[in-house]
Amino acid sequence: MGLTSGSLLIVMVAAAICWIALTVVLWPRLVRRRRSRARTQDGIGRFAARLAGRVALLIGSQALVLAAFLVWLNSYFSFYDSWSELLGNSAPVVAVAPKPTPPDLHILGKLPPAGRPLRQLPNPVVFYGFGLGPGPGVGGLAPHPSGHTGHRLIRLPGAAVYGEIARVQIKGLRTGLAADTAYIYLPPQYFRRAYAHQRFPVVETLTGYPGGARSIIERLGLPETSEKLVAEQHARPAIYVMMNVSPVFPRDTECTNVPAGPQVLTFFAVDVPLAIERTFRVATSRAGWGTLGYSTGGLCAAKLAMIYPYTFSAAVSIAGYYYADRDDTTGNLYGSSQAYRNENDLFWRLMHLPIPPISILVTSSKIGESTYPGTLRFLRLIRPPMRGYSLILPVGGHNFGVWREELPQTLEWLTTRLGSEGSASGTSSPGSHQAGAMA
Amino acid sequence: MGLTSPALIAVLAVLAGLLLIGALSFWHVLARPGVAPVLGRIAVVCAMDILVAAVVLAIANDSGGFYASWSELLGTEHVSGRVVALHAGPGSVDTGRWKGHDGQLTITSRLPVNGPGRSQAQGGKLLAVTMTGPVSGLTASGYVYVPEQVSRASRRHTALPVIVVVSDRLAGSSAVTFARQIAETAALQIAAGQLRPVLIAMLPPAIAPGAGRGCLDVPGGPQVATFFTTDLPQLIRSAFRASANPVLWAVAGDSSAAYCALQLALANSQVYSVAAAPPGYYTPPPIPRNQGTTQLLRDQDNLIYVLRHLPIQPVSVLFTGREAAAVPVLELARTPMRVAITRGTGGQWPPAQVLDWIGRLLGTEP
Repeated sequence: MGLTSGSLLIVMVAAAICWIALTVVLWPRLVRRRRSRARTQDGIGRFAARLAGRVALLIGSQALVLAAFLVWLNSYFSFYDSWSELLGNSAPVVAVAPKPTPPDLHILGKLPPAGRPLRQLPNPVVFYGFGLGPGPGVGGLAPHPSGHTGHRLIRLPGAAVYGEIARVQIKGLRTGLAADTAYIYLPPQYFRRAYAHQRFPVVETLTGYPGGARSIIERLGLPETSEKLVAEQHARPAIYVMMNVSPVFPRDTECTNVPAGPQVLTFFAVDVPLAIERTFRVATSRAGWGTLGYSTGGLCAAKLAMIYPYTFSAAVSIAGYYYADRDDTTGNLYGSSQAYRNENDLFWRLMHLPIPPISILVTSSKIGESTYPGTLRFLRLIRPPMRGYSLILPVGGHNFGVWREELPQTLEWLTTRLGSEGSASGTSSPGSHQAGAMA
Repeated sequence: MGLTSPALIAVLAVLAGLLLIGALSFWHVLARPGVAPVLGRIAVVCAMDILVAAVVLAIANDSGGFYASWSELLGTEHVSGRVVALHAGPGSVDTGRWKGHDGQLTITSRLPVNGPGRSQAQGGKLLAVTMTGPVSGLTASGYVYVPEQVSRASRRHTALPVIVVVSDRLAGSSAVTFARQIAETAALQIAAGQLRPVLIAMLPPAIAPGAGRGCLDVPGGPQVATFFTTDLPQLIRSAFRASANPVLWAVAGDSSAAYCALQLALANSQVYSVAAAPPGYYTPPPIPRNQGTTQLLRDQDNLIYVLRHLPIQPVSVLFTGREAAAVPVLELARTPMRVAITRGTGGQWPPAQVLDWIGRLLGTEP
């Protein structure tokens, strides 16, 4: 039974109700009998048994009710998508068992002549399913987990009207990591003839920790908001690659190249862009690539753009923090090296390393957001050529409700900064003149 | 009472505790037969369950800082803010797009390269350059060989492949001699049609004090790998018509920079897909001040570790020299990596063979 399946929740709720009914039925049996004799050893034993029975009934029902609550909350916020994620026994990700294939060895002189056909690298994007429309509410048909797998994007009828969401696995050819459940939102414009020669800007979108990529669609409503803003001409169409912030979930890697461990930063900064550029009609220069994330994803978005400014030109950190310390879920991220830890500390980078040429928007709130002091400190440290922007709410917590409120402004900010490549004959895009100037 | 106030949790916990004690001690009251006691039991059990769940959720909300207030939890509050630019005032107009902060590539002198035969101008140019990397902040002096064919109209729109040559001999007073030697070898081969026109960037490996010759990002020290993999391609591309495609970028090192060249290709195949170096140099040369490194970081810099534990990169590696020293790599290399060996170069660099081999591999996907 899947962790986020409706049947599990039904079973849990039914169990809790049954237990409550059992408590009500068994209640009278746990009462002292009138005829019980005076305080004998036996009587004390019975008293203890009765008390234990009462406590067991009450605590049991509390445990079941709480468990049902947690299952519901987990599926609502998509913290953990499966039991293996929760329990941490998913397949090892850096699986590179040496194969005994002989190396492709040429002694010079026997080299094949130049100009022979290229040998293709394996396809890094595997499609698992396709859905129409920007979200479950619009256009219907959510991507199905057990749907079609293949290496090619299937264009659904109506894609040019609603857009499409593809459920994919993105394999990192250079790091060996993989984003197993990622979603790619392709705006309706991607399928329109007027944009057939335009390479679209891409936003790498990362969840918080813990969180499944599904929550970006369902809780944050990113594709929906994007579609609405594009229709209102407040934002430009872009492709959103939505991923779990940790490809080695349940370990929380904070987008770090862990020494002698998973190279998560390289995965997001090198592997994912190469995979997406290979598969979709997307921009290939830094001007067309941006990052967006909330919470831990916010740290990652800022870190990716700051360390790889020639891959990403703009970043949005929603309620993010800027330095990750060691905790239960991270393990040893920095190889016990203070110096390497510093290099992963964005405050330290701003103070000690050259400032990268990127634009960054950070959001937080004055009341209810523990990231506020860090955000202010980060903003104070930004100097040209880096551009800082802030969106500070007077009050707001660390939750999807607040981030939804902030999303329209951040998407507007981000997509007007990202350039597409190629010629767009469509005039519906408010920034198409910029795209023309770019090309 | 605020959603995140400790008082809320305390009150809920006390209520739950009182209810539990009350239920346990007045159990018999609700045990009587009849409708009212049954309803009472249901009410007590449900109330207790809800109170306990509320305590747990309030504690979780408090520690996670999810919802700041009741109105936010219930979704009745809508606050809004505006995006504010940090740097106001003149000179901070955001063009929306940075056309690349290119750093600095300054050409300090231009030397002609002898071409074969009659005309000296046929060989192309050797430029002495100083480069400052915008991301690493490092400054390096080196040479760039620009082939003659670049200026021809027919080739004006073709992006050239790039070979980055790294050697200690490119530092110091004899650097120009060595650079000229490489440039002339290349010019000769290009003129003979053995090598396609190619840009050659020549740099010493130790571009920063305290960095050693390993071309690594030293924790807490100079970020040399960042210079070679992020800054250098950007600088070369901004100044010359160089390709952005990794299959057209190669790196070659002699014995002083063998580790550097192998390391750059094996760890950054998205930048360099071809490497040539003498075999046997698989651990980084010692760094004078390596206070920042630990065993884990050193493991990661060991190329044998990289080959054994990280995915094999799509690179082509040419070993120039003793086959025995290449055995550790030959045993671990597998597709998509390609390994080749050329014997008998005897440590001389650059053998025309190396350029020839690189030239033939450039543009093919491993």
